[in-house]
Amino acid sequence: MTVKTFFYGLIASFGLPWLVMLAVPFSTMRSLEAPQYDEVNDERTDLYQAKRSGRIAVGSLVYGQEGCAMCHSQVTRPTYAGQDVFREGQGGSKKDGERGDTRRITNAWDFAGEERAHIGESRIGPDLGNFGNRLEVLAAKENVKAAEAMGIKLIKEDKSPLTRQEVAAALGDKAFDKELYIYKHLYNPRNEGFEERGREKEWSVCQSNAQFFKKVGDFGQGAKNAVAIVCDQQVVPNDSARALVSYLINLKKDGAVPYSMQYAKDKKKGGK
Amino acid sequence: MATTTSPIIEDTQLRADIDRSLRHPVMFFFSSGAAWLAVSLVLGIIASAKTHSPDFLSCCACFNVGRTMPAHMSTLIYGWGAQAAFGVILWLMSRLSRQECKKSGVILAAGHVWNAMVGIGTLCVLAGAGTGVVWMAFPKAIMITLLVTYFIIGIWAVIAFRVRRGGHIYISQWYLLAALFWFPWVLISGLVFTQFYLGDGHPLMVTASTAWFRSAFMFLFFTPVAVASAYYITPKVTGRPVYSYSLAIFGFWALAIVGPWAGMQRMMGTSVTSFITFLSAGAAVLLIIPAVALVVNIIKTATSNKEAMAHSPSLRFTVAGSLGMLVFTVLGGLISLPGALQFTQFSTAQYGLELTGLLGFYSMCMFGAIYFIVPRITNREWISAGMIGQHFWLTIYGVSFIAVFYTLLGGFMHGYTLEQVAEPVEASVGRLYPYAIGLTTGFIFLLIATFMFCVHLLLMWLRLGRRSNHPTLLVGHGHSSPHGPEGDLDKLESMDSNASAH
Repeated sequence: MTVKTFFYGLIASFGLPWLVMLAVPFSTMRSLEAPQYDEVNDERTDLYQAKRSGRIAVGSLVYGQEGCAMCHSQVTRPTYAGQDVFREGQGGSKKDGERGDTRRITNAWDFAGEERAHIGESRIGPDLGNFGNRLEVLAAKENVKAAEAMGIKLIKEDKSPLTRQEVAAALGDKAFDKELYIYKHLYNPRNEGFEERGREKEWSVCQSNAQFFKKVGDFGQGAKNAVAIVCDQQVVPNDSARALVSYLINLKKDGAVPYSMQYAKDKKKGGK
Repeated sequence: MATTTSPIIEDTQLRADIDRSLRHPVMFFFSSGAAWLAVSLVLGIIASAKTHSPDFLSCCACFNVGRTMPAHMSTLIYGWGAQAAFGVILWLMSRLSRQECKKSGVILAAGHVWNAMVGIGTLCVLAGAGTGVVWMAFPKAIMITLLVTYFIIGIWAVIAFRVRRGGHIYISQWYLLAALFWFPWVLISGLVFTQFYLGDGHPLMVTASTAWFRSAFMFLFFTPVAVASAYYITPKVTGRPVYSYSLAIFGFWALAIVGPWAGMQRMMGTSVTSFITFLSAGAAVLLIIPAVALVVNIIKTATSNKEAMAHSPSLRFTVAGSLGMLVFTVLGGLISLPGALQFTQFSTAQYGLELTGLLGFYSMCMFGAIYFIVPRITNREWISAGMIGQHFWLTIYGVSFIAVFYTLLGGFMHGYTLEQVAEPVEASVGRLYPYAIGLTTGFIFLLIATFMFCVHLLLMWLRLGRRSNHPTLLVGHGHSSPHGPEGDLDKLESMDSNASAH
C-alpha cells in the first residue's frame, strides 16, 4: 500500500458517509418545506407552520446553556422506537377535555425557531416536549379545586360547564399561576421548607437554580413572582428565568397536524 | 581520520536523540493531560453525585449537573484525551519515522495555548456561557483556537512522516496518519454543522450532526491513536512481531470504512431521515469487527511472551485497553440495536458507553503508552511498581463499575422502567438511584488511581525517577534478574569500574 493509495482510500471511505450521513441530509432538511393543509381533508388551505420567536427563542438558548437537556428529553418517538406516545401527557392527552385525543409523535416542525432540537441526553427527569400542556391540565385542576373551595359555580345557566379560561377568569388573582409554579420549582425543586410540599415534588432530583433569581427590596405588596423572602429581601426571577419559563410554558408538541401527517388509525378529517 | 561506528550504536544514538528532542513537549502533554483527567473526574463525581443527592454542593450554580456534566466531558476529551493523543502521536511518529523533532519549542508553546483554551473553555461552561452541546461545549471562539492549535502541533508529526528514514511504513504509522487526517475533518464538520450554520440548518439536523461528531471523534481520532499505540508497544515489549500483519491492515480498513457511518442511531425515532439512523445502528454493530481484529492480534502477540505480559506495566495496560475496545464495541453494538434502543436511547446507557470507551479502552491504551514512553524521554525509570499496580487495579475496578454496573445493568433497568408507561416518572428516578451511586463509586476509584498516576508522573517530570539500568516491572527483582542488579546508575557504574580494575 502506497501513501497515495492510502489517502485515496481514506478520502473515499470517509467522504461517502460524510456526504450521505451529514452533508446531504443537512442541506435537504435545511430547506424543508412546510406541508400544506388539504382543502378536502383539513378544510383549510394554508401552510402548517409552527412558530417560535422572541423571548421563547431566547429561552431555548438558556435551556441549552444550562444543560437542561442532560436530564430532560423533548421527543415523542413513534411506536417502533418506544412507548412514549402511550404515556399520558408525554405525546399529548388521550382524553383532552376540549380537543379529544391529542396524542401524536414529534415532527420536524415542532422545533421551529430553535437553534438546536433539544431532544435530550437522557430521561433522568420527565420528558418536557408537552410540558406546557401538562401544566395547563394541572392549572385547570387546581383552578377547579380553588373555585369549589370559594363556592364558585362551575356550571353555567345553560347547564354547560365553564371552560378553563372562564374558571380562571372567575378566580381572578386566585387563579393558578403557571409561571410562579415553574419559578418555585427552579428555585427550590423539592419545596423543602414549604408547607405546600407535595408528594409529587419529593422525588425530584432536579437542581436548585439560584442563578435564575436575584434579591430585591421587600416593600409594598411585594412582587407577584417572588418565590421566597430571604433576609427581608424578595427573591425574584431575572431575565434568563423569565425567558426560560416562557419557553417551558410554550412547550406544546401536540398541536393538530395536517391530515397527511397523521399516523393514527382513526385519524380525523377537518380537525374533528 | 574517519571513524566507524556500528549500526546498533548509531541506532541507539538516534533513538536517544529523538527522545531528547521530544522530552519537553511530550512530557508537558502527558502531565497536563493527567491533571485534566483528575479535574474531569472531580467534575464527573460532582455531576454523578447530584443525580442521587441533588442538594450536594447546591451552594453555587456552577456545580449544577447541567454545567458540570459538559465541563466534565470537555475536560476529559480536550484536556486529557487530546493531549495524551498528541504526546503519543508525536513520539511514535518520530520514533517510527526515525526523525528528531526540530521544533519542540513551537509544539510546547502550542501546548500551552491548548491548555489555556481548555481552562478558559471549562470556566465558561461552569459559568453558564457554554454552548450546551456535549463534546463541543466550549464557546465557538475557543473551539476554533483549539483547531488552529491542533494544526500547529499535528503538522510536525506529518513532517516527521514526510521526511522519514527507511522505506517500510509500520501499521502504527498508518493509524496515526489516519488519525491526523480525520481529526480536522471531523472537528471542522462538527463546527460547521453545529455552530456556524446555526439558524440556517434544521434544528434536528444540528442535533444529529452533534451525535455524528461524538461518534466520529471517538472512532476516528481516539481509536486509531490507541490502536497505533497498542500495535507499537505489544511487539516492542514482547520482542515478537505482530501476530498477523494482514489482520492489522484488515482491522484498519474495517474501522475506516465502518466508523464514519456510526453515531446517528441516537436520533432514532426523531424526524431525521430514518434510513440514516438505521444505517448508524448497523455500523455500531459492525464496529465489533475492527475490535476483534485488534484483540486477536494483541492477545496472540502478547501471549507469545507470557513473562513480559505478566511483568510489563505498559503491556498490561495495553492488553487491558485492547480488551476494553472489545467490551466498548460489543456494548455499543448491543445498546444500538434498534430493538434495544427503545430502552437505551434515553437511559444512562449512552453516557456510560462513552465513559467505557474513553476510560476503559482509550485511556488504558494511553496509560500503557505513557508507562512505556516516559522512562525513555526522561532517562529515568518509574519509581514504584506498587503505585503502577495500584493504578492498574483501581482503574479496572472503576471502569468495571461504569461498564458493567452503570452502563449495562443500569442502562437497561433505567430504560425498562421508562418504557413502563403505566408507571409514574418517579419510578425511573428510584430505579436509577443504586446505579447512580455505582457510577460515583466507579469515579472515586478512578480518581484515586489518577491521583497516584499524576503524582508518579510529576516525580518523573521532575526527573526524580530511578536511575536504574532496568525497567520498573510488576515483580520484585533480585540480583538474579536478567537485567542485572537494581540500584542507582552511578553506583552501578562505579561498581563495574571497580570490578574491572580488580
